[in-house]
Amino acid sequence: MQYDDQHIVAACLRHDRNAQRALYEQYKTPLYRLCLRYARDPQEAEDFLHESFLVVFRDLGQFKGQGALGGWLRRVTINVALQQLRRRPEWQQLDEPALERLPDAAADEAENPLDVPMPQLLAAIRELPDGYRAVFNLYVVDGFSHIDIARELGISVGASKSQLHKAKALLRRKLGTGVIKPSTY
Amino acid sequence: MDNHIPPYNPHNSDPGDRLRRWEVDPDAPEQPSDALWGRIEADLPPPRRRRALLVWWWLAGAGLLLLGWHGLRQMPAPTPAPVAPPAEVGLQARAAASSEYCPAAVSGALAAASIASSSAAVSASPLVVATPASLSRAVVGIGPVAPPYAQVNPVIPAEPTADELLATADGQADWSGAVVKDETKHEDKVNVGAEYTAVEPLAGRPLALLPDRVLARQSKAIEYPNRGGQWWLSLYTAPASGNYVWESPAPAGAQPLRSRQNIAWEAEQGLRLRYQWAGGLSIGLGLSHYNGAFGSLSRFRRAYDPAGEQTNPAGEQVSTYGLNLSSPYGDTDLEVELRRGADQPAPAPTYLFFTVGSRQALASWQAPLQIGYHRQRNRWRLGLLTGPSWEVQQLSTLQTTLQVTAPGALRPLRPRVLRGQEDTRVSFLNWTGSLELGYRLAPRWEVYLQPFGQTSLTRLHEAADSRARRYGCQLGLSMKLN
Repeated sequence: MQYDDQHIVAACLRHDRNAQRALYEQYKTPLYRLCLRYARDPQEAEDFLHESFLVVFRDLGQFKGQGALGGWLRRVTINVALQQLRRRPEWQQLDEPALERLPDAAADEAENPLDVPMPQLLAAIRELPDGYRAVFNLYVVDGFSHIDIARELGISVGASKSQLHKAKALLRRKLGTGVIKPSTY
Repeated sequence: MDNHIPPYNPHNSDPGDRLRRWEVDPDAPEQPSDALWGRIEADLPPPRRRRALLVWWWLAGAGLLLLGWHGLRQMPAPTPAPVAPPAEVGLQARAAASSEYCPAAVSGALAAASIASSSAAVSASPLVVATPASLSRAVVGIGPVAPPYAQVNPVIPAEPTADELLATADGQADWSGAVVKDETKHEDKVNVGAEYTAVEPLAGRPLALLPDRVLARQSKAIEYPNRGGQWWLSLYTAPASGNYVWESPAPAGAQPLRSRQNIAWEAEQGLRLRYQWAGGLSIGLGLSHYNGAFGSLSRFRRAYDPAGEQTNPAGEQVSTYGLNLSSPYGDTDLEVELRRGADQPAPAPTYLFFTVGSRQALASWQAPLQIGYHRQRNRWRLGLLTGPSWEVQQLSTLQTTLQVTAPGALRPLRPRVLRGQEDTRVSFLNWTGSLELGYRLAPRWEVYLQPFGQTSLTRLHEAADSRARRYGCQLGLSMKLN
């Protein structure tokens, strides 16, 4: 059964369990795939989604209806994913990535485009270090500016640009050398 | 923060664009596991509204139980009818004319009135009769109202006539104190004539008294997010008044005695639970309680015939008179003896007057069921409600008094209760109609005013065609439960 956003939000605010389930069913797939981009594996993606919906149902009152509910849910899910990533002990200091010297991304772009099958691309993203993966997703997919990314992750704008450059280079190298196997998820 | 997502461009092979398309691709296989919702649901707080509703249901139930328990405690168990109780049980003689029978608290006004207007041969002797033991501390009072009987004729009948019930009067207004507003001008009735039109039409005369009725409740509706309907719990108080009308059975050819009396009721207290559909219809169930009190006065005239006297072992001349008081809650039979000393000459044939007063308490419980229709406009709500209510009444006689007006040579003694005086419990069906005006104070709170009228559908007692009417106005506070 489909509910419009206004009614489903009103019902969720009353802690109507059926409405909460309806909201979950309506948005679970895109949000889960969003989580897949930020997570290392499907299990972690489900953990992100799990936590995201708890936050959504807790803070739904903050949704003022001024935009699409889907956009607000995406923003909440991204925040939760980043929060979860930052809690990891191995969360890398993005300002000082411990990476080997990478080829120049601009030079590689022509010869190693990221135009590969989706499963392979997802697998390559999953293989990125957490910080690189976060910056890549935020900038390339989710439309954040470097300023926003810097504020969100607590790094400098320059570090954000650098991490993005290196993330793309690493992806192309992995995809170009056939290191990345197609994702199974 | 910029939360903008670049629009999808089908000609763009940018990985960001491809990933955004993939997220909403219905054919993509990536889906969360079916068990995920169960884990999320397990971590969600319990539904607040259901929990709140459950709490209020419990509170409402507890409130009803508490009211019921309180009401049952207030209803004394019916006592067995004191058939021919020992003389010393209930009768405390209180005389008016003689200091021997005249307690200062009671007899002052009575004595003054009686003496002032009486001949020397007449004495008025109010007697307190058969007060239930548990209620014996109740304030005693006699409150005769204007004598409802006709002026007596100054001619003494040649032959005693049959017993006659002259009338009874509503003594309610005079029962509060111990002072008797005696207007017994009848002392002059020593010269009562045979042409006395005894059973003049008593219809419409205030007489006995009784019950009244309960009321219903209702509630109103409000529009709010809930689409299914609304639960409202209300507490209310309802000052009300009413009257009791009854008609006693009469022998063939005789004119039935009709009575109507207003009754003093305490404010009704009630609890009501109402469900209102979105369309405005509602159904409500409640429980209410109230107490009332009333007094009654019945006056009898009896012919005195010295020939009917008997001699007791002490050599006194004794004449016995039985009095029957009819009431919607059951009849009461009293017996009073008049004694004349052996050395006192017999008075001439005359009439004797017996005034029997009764003070009673009434407790009532009602369970109203009401169906209504409501219209809401802004904060105001107007409702029209009607429905039946089942009522249980408990009547307790607090005190019965007897005043005898007789020639001075006759001394009233030992009134006895032969029948009646016991607590009575009756149940009957009412029908109530009401109008309700509510004003929303807050999304969940509303005050309302509900004028109502109520009448009994069934007789209160089999012995008499008795009906109760009641009207008043509820003032209540309602809380929305969902």
